[in-house]
Amino acid sequence: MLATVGSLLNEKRIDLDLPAGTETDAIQRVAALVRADPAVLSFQAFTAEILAREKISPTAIGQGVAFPHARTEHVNEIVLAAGRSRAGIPFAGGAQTVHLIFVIGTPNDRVREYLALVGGLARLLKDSTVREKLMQAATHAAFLAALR
Amino acid sequence: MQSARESFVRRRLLPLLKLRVWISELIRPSELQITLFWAGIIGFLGAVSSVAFRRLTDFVHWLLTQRHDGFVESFAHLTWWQRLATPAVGGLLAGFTIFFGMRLRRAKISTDYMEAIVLGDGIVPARLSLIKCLSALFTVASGGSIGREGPLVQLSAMLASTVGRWRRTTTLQLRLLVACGAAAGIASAYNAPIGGAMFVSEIVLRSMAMETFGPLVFSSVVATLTVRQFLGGNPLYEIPVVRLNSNWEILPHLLLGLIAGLAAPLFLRLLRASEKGFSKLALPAYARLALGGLIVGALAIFHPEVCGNGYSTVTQILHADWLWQTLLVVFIFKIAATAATFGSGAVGGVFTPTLFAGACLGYVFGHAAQAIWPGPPLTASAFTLVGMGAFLAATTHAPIMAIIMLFELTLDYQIILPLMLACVVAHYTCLTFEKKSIYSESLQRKGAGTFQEHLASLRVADLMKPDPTSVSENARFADIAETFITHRFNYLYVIDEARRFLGVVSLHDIKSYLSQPELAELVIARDILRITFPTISPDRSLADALTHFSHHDGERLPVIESNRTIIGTISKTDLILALAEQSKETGPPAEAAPQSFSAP
Repeated sequence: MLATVGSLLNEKRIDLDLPAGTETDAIQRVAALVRADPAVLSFQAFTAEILAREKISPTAIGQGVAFPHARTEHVNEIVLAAGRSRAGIPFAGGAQTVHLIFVIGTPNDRVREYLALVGGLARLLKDSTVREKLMQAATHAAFLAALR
Repeated sequence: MQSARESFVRRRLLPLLKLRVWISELIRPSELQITLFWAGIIGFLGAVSSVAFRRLTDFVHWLLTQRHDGFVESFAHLTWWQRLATPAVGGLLAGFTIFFGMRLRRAKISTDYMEAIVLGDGIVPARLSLIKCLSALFTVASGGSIGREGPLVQLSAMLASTVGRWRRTTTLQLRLLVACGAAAGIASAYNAPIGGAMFVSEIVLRSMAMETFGPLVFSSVVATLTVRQFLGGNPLYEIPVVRLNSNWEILPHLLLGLIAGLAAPLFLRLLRASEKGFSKLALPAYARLALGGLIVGALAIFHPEVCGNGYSTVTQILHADWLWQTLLVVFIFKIAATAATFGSGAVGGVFTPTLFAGACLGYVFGHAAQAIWPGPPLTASAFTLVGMGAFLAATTHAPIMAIIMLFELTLDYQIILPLMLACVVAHYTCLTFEKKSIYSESLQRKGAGTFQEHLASLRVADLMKPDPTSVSENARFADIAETFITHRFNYLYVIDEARRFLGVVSLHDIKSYLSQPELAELVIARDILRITFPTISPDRSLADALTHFSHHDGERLPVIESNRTIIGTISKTDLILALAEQSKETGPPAEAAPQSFSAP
């Protein structure tokens, strides 16, 4: 599982210092990290689906973590990007303050891979030590190391 | 607080779901295989009800006669007026039960299990069945010339129907379960598992398709094993050794088959004429049944052998030498008693009285044959047995069942060759003169409305189970898991607000993540939806549906309208059962008999 996160996430797909803003701003900014990925067939449509999905059912799971995601035809491989905000961003209509955002895009036919990725990340981030390391990571490499 | 309780319940239930997934992955049971399991349960219930009915009958018999013996032995010890009065009192009680019980019903409902199976609704109403069985209890216990196997089968079929309706099975599966109940009832009544399955296959379903025969066998065997646990495993009729001294002895058995085939139509017509006669009297049920009982009682004054189903007398015929003249008189008295009991409308079975008539016929014929046979002495009991089988084959129009049933009742392989021959000859001879079997009325009531005729024009919509369980596209993972717990599905249908079909959530996809609480609120149905899933429209033929199933490993297909609205599901088991029935021989139409015989 961690190997999958490792293979999907690299330094270019991590933003360690998201500016203050709205939930939508933050999601768009993290999603923009995979704009150049050839697996993303239409970035605008992909982002729109992520935001639409977030409106249907917020993906903030507590402990300052959110997983904006969508299964969409606008990616042909699983894509993953991460963002961190020390100040926190209001999610779910202000009900939660999120510090760690993981944007995930999955092709329609990859149900099990999607569940494996989301389930693995959610389980990992339940650990307060991991969250603490991610919040304290000074570099992209340290952030990635905390996920391994 | 409620949310905490819900999540606690979910946590408790998730291991159950994981266990179910593990089992289903391990053995991958199809609906038909699961039907086998329920057939076993029904077999057990049928056997237990059978034992309970026997015990209750014995108790009421003791109340009426103060004796624990069989019917014939009890009546032999009664004074003449007690012999006269006991069946009459029993008939009166049985009649009152019917009279008042039927007044409780709101509409005309059939309780006949054969009709429930053949006409396709599979519903055997519980209350009316119990009234019928209570009435039969009084008739049987008071010495009426009737078989208790009728109510045993009725009880078993009623329990099967109740189980099926509780499980909310489809009509076709409910019919199959009721058929399993009937098979269990017969198997437990006669200690004859193959005969039970064959009776329902040959007479009621008229199909030997494995899809239906398998569950029938399963139910019959479980019923027989259960009954043997309570009552022992001996064959119903212990018979002396039967041997053919030469192949030429087949010839008199052949002749016996012919005579049985000629006599059976007379027996059937006598029973029908008796029914007509009683109905012309226009008496209320209690008076009619009391009169029937009085006639039996009057006959019992001279020959107590007329009482009961005739089992003990048949056993005596098999083991003792009777003067054929005496037996002929008993035979005539017994036929008259049976005609009086059935004609009066008593509830019960005709199976054992039929065996009695066949046994007498065979014995008398055997004596005549012995007198003129030039070779080594013939075995009289062989003719008795062959007479029973041949007469049964002729009256029921079911020679295969008769052969197997007789073999199981006696467990004697020596008898099989003459028995087979005589049964087939009797059947064909009887068919020439009598198109209606003893069960024709039950099987052909409502004539053209039978389910078989409807089957040829069936479309998917006709087999469809409406209002399928589905979840919204926004349903949370926890709700999806819970739905999988409460329903035994492998695919859960996902719909939008307008009930349009969007796809399915596959249990196989999510099984590894069921115990992850982090996903419970994070993941929703649309996140894990499989968009490509076969569907079928309601106007397609059953052949089209079969083609669809050949490309799909699931047990159900969603039925959707042209605008993608989901309106139901079609099950592979129902489809196979319907196609199996389509392919079976429906046989020539027969005239409706004037009144119904209770079955079996």
